[in-house]
Amino acid sequence: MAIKYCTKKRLVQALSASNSWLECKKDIVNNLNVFPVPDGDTGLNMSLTLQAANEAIQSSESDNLAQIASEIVQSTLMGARGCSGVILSQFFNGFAEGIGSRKRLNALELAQALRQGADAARGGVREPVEGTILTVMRHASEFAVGLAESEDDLTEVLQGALRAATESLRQTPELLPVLKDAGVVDAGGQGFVYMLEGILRLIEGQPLEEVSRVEVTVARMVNAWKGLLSTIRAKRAEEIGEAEVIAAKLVESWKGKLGAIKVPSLRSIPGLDRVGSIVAKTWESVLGLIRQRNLKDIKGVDKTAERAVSAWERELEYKYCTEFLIKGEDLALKQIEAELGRHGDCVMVVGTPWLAKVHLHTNDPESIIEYAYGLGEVSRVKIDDMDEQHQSLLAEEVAPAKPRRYEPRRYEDHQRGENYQRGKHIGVVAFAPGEWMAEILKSMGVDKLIGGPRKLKPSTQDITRAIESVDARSILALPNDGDIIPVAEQAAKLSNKEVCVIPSRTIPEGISALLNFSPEVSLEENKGAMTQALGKVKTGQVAKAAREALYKDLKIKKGDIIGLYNRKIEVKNKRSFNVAASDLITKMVDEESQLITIFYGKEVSKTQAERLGQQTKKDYPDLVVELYRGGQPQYYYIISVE
Amino acid sequence: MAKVAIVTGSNHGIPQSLIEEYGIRMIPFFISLGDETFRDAVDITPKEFLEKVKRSKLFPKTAALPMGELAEAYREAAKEGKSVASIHMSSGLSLPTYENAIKAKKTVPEADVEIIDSRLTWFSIGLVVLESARVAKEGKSKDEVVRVAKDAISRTISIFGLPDLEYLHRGGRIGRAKSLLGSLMKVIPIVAVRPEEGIITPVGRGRNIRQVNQRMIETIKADMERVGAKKIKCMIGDVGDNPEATRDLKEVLERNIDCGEIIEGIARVEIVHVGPGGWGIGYYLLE
Repeated sequence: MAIKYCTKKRLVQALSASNSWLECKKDIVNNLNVFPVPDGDTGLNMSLTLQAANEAIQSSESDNLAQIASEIVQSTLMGARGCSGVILSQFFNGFAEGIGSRKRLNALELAQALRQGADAARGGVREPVEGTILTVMRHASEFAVGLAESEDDLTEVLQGALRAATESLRQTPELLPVLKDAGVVDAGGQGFVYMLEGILRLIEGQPLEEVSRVEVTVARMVNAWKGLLSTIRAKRAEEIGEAEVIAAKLVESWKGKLGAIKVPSLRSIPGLDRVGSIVAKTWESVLGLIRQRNLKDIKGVDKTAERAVSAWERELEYKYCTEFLIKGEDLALKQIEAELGRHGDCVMVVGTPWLAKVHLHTNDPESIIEYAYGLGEVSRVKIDDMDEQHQSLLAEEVAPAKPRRYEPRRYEDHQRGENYQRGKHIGVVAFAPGEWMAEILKSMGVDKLIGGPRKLKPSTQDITRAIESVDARSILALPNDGDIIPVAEQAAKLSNKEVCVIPSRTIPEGISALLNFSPEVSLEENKGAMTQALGKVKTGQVAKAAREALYKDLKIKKGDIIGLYNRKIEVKNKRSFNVAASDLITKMVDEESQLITIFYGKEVSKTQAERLGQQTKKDYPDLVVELYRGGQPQYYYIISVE
Repeated sequence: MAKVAIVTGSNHGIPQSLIEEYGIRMIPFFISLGDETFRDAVDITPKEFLEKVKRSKLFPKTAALPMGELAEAYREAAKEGKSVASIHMSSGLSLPTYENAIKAKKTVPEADVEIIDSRLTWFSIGLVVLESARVAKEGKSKDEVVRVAKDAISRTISIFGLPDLEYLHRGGRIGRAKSLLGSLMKVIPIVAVRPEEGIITPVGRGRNIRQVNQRMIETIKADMERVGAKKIKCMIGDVGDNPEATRDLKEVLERNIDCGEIIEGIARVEIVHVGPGGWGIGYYLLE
C-alpha cells in the first residue's frame, strides 16, 4: 500500500523507529572508529542525540508537523554530543526549515527537506570532509529528490534513499584515505544508514528491538523494593524457596517497567549517587541472603530493607563537604587518604608531596583540620553543609542547615568560594576526563568543569549549564577533546554570554592554553594567546586497542597497547603500557624539548607510573620529567612534551 | 653641580656602582627574619640574607622606610642647597612608606621636597630613579627632574617570575595575583606591576624558565605595539640564586626585542617579597 504523505504522526513514529534501530546498532558504529581507541563514541553520541529528540517528541502534546520538527531541532541542539551529534542537530535544523509551515509532506517535499538537512549539516561544519556522513547524507537526499520527481510513494523514495546511502557508505574509504588505511567505512555515515533503515523496517513491519528506556531513579528502586517486601509478607513465605520464586517473578515483571535490570547490577545504572548505592548494596545482600537460605524468618529481610530505605530517607551520614589545601614537605598522600577515610567518606587527596588538595565528607571538620595542621600549613578551607544540597533528593523536609562551626586559626582566606573575584569579567570552563584531572584544572584557573554523566561526553546542554553557572560576562571554553569542540562551539552560539572556544584537542593542549590565560586582558587577547599556546605542546596517548585494526603496516589485535601521537598510531606493544609509553616518548622528543609531563590514568598504579617516570628520567637526563596522577579512565598515559 | 638630590629607598635593584656614580641617596629598609632585624644591604648583604631566608622555616618581613631617616636625608640636602626628588615604591604596595615621606617632609620645612609615588617596584623604580638621577647630574632644575621622573613612570612596567608565590602572599602584597596561588602542577606564576595599577596583577603561568621568559617577551611586545614604541631600555636580574633565569632572559631579549640598554640589576629588600628563585625585568618604552 503506497504511503503518500508524511504527517506529524508518521514523523514521530519514524523518528522513534530510527532511534530504536540506531540504539541497538550503536556498538557496531562505535567499533568503526578509525582509531581503535576506547573512546570511539560515534554510535553512542549519535544515539544519545537522537534519543534526546525522541524523548522530546514522544511526550509532546503538539498536533502540528512544523511544531514537532521545531521541537526536534531544539532538543537535538541541546542534547547534541560529539561531532556527529552536532552534525545531526544541524541536519534536523535544515530538515525543519524544509518542512516550513506545511501540515504534511508529499514524497517530493520530504526528499527536498532531507536535502535541505544535508546542506545544513554540511554548512555547519567549518571544513567539510568528503567520505563522511556529510557525503552519505548528500547522496541519499539527492537521489531521493531525483526519484521523487516521478515517484509519489514515500516508501519507494525512502528505499531509494537507503540504497543510495548504502552505496555511498561503501565508497567512503575511496574518498577518505584514513578509512582505507584502517579498513573501515565511515562511522557517522553508517549511523545515518541505520537511521534510514530503521524507518524502512517500521514501514515493512520488521522488528526494531525496541527497549523501552525508562529512567531508573532511586525513588523507583526503593518503591520496587518496598513492593517486593510487602509481596513476600503478604504471601507469608515461610519457606525461603517461595520467597526466592516471588522475588524472581517480581524482577521479571519489573523488567518491563524498569528496563533491563540485571540483578544485582543496579550499580551500573548511570545517575545512581552514593546514597542510591547504599540501597543497591543492601538489595544485593538481601537477595544473597534469600538465595543462601540464611534467613529463618522474614524479620531478617525486613531489617535490611528498613536500613536501606531509611538510609535513603534520613539525612546523609556525613554532613559537611570539607576541602582545603595543605602545603608541606614529603606529604604521604595515600596515608593521609587512609587516615581521613576513618573519619568520613568520599575522600580524595590529590597533588604532590609538597602541595595537596584534600576533599572529604565528614561530620567533624574541626578535627580534620586539626589533623591537617599537624602535616603542614593549611589554607583555602571550604566547608559546605550538604543537607542543603540533599534537599533535592528527598521528598521529606530536611533539618535546616546548621551554621559552619569551624574557624581556621591562622589565615583570613577561609571564606566560602574565596577564589571568586567580584566583578570577574572572564570565566573559564573546561572538560576533564576524571576527578583528579578536574582538580588539577581547577587549581590552574578553571572556574567550572563541564559536567555530564561519567562515561559520556558532554552534550550541548551540559556545556551550556557550565557556562551559565560561572558568574562572569565572558567565558573561555576549553573542550580538551576533538569530539567536544563542535559541541562547545554550538553551546557558544546558543549562549547569551560572550563565549570563546579555544579549540584544545587534548588535555596537554588545554593546560598549555590555560597557562597563558590572563584575567587582566581582553577576551580577544586571551583568545589569541591561548590559541597560539595550543601549538606549543605535543600530546601523546597510550591506550588499549578496543578492536582489531590494520594501521599502515602495524597489525593491531584487540587488547594490544597502542601509542598515539598527532592522531596517528606510532607504536604498539603486546603487553606493557610502560614500554609503549617509552617508545612513544622517543618519537615525540626532539632537540628543542625541555619538559616531559606524564599523567597516569585510572588503570595504572602509582608504582607502575613511578617506574615509567624513573625510566624516562634515565633516558633523558637533560630534560625535566614530571609525573602527575590524572586518573583518566581511558588512556593509560597522557604525555606532553614541550 | 647638581641642584637636585635623588632620595629613594633600597627597593630599586640598581647596582651599587651606579648608586655611587649618580650620588643617589639610598635609605635602607628594615628587613627582619624571626627576631633578627637588619638594615637592608647595610647590616647584612643580600646574599647572606637570602641564605638565612632559605634555611629558615619562617618568612621574612619588612617595615616602612623610617620617617626619621627620610627627614635626615631632606635636611642634609637642604643644607647643601639642593632640592629633593624623593622617589618611592608604589603606595599600593607600601602605603606607610609613602606616608612617612610626606610626614618627613613636614618636619623639614626648610627643604624643597617633591615626593613621587612611583606606582612601581624593583627594576622599574630603578629605571625611573636612574633617569631622574641622570637628569639631576646634568644640573637640571627640580621641576625638570620631576617631569622626567613622572614621564618615566608612565612608560615603565615590570614583570616577574615568582617560583614561590607564598612570599608575596605572606607579605600581604599579592594583590590580584591571588588567583595564581595553589596550582597542583609545578608552575612558575608570572606577575606584573603597571604604573596605572600600582599593585601586583597576574599575567599567567609558565612551566619552566624558558616559558616564563617567552611570556615576558610577548607581554613586552604587546605593550610596545600598544604605544607605538620601537625600542626599550631595561633592567633585569634575579633574587641572587637564579642566574640561569637572568641569563636566559637576556638571551631571549636580545634575540627578540630592540633593547637599547640592558642593565643587570640586583635584589636587596626584594628578597623578602619576591622569594627564592624570583627574577624579572623592568622595561621602559622608548619611541
